[in-house]
Amino acid sequence: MQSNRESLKPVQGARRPKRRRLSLRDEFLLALLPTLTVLLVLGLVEVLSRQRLLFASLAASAFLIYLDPEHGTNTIRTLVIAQMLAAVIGLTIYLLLGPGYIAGGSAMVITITLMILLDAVHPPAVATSLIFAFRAGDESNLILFGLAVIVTAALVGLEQMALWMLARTNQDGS
Amino acid sequence: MNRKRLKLQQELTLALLPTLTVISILGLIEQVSNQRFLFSSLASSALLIYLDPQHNTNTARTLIIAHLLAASAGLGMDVLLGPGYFAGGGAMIITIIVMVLFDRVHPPAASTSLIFAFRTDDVSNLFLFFLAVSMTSVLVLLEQAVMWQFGRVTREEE
Repeated sequence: MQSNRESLKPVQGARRPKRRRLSLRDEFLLALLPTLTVLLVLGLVEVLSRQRLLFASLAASAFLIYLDPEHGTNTIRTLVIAQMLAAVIGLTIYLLLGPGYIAGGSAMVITITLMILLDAVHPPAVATSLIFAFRAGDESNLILFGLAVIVTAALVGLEQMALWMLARTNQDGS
Repeated sequence: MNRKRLKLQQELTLALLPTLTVISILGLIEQVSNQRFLFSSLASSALLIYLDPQHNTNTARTLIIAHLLAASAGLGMDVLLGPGYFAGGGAMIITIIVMVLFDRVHPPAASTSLIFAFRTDDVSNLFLFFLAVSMTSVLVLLEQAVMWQFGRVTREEE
């Protein structure tokens, strides 16, 4: 197992290892995209399903992407693998054991172990595994969740672009 | 969030602490409340602390302020508007604005605001949540201590 794994470092080509705090105006601009993304996802869920809670963990993903869009934990690969893995494990354990403490605990332990082994550590996925194990509903929610993950994944590219544009605007201004 | 990947055994050891923390919190909740959902976002916090215990987003202060702010906003909106899309959206927007203004951004708190706005039931859950957040904040210190220990062992090996 190599020592410089992807999900614990900034992505290749990232301009700085840690994101600096921007001006308050720029911070709000950058936070606007995840806010709109989550509101859009929740709106879709509102129309198509009553299982709002299943999608709450994607809000944490969206704001983790805002906090550091160039970090390895926020790549599209890591986000999609971790969130879908967690949802599938949560749903499977829910179907096998029914909702409860044992189901939630097992889903969480399996998800964490696999995320580390697959080098796809995305912390909000742990909440996904718990929420699905506590109340997955049926398989159709998994498909809807997959759609919501794709919408959230698009945010990664948008935030990286927004950060680049803000940096360029600031450079031009100074 | 920029720590080096450790050896697999060390990674799993570091991940053991947040896992045990969340399992303890869930066990406690199981005994005194049925509101398991309210605490699921703390699991994200626990793993974010594992990912980088020395990052500013994972200080005990940021963790406590962000989660309690989010839980209060969620509860407030739930009481004002009833559970639903507008309560959830409103609670999340308030939480984000205040976190950015006070430079206390902790991403899992966004989930907390939504979960509390969707399903809070009563105020006593807020006290229980505070207890769980306090337990999670202890994890910050534990993970920092383990990282320091791993760093010392690695230096001695080199």
